[in-house]
Amino acid sequence: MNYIKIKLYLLLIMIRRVLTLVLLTLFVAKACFGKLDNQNLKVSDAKLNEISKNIRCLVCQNQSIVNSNSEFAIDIKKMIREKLADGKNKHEIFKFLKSKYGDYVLFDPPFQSNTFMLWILPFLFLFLGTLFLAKKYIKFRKK
Amino acid sequence: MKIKFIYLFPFIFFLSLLVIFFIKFEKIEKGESIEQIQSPLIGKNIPNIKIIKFNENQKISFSKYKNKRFILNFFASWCLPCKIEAPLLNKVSSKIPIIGIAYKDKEEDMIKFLKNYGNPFSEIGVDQLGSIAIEWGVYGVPETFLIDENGKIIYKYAGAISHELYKDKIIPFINND
Repeated sequence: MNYIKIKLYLLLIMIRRVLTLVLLTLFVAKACFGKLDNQNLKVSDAKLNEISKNIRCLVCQNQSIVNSNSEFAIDIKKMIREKLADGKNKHEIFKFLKSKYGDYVLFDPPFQSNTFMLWILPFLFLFLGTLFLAKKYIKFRKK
Repeated sequence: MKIKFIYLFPFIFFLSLLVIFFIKFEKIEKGESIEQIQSPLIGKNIPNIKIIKFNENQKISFSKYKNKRFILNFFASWCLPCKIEAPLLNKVSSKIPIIGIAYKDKEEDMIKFLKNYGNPFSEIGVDQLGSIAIEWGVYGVPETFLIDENGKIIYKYAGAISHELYKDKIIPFINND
């Protein structure tokens, strides 16, 4: 009788050990895969934010879609995620958005006939300012 | 004391900029001028995207409108300007077909909306996810597109249709002026 009891006891211990091992394996696996999932999510979030910060929220006041919770921002962010998942890069996404909403949707205005003043004026002012200061300096030195 | 123009130029330049901004902001504040973002879709064919009809498991067939002018309007029951423009849309619908696209709307709310404000639409499509709106370059509701007999978008308006717009754009469009 004692022998059976000992056998049963040993069997119980074994079952407990096997169960512990199985649970431990499952726990470690879950932790690993969970971490991987989070990493993927972080990568796509980083990409999403990188693209989104250059896209204007057309229904907000001078805000990019990154920090906006408007329907427009939500839809565009969803679309960007889908396009990234399809293997599209940021230039292709910008091109698509430009074809639908125009240049205004991007914060970086392109260098073209109707925007060239935006790009040239700061340099022109810098040049004129430097010229003015240089002239003043030469005059001062001459004195 | 004689002041050279070159010294005054920066002040004049920035002062004129300030005046321009002030006038523009005043106009916007008074609601006189709401800037419309120029759509790159103007002059192009309507986007080739499948639009499923409301309550029917089939898509809207645009070929039906070949050689005909029509209007496409994005609306939603939860949008206040859509309620404001409803009487004008009802008026327009007797003269030209209007396709309505329900943007992120609940079925029961939309039925109630059409019952209360009238149904100007010859066909209604649904855009539950907002993906159709993106293809059409829509960023809010209501938005209205005027489409010519060649299937080209000739005008787009964001916001509720006003009497001025009806008179200046829609009527000439219907009359093919």
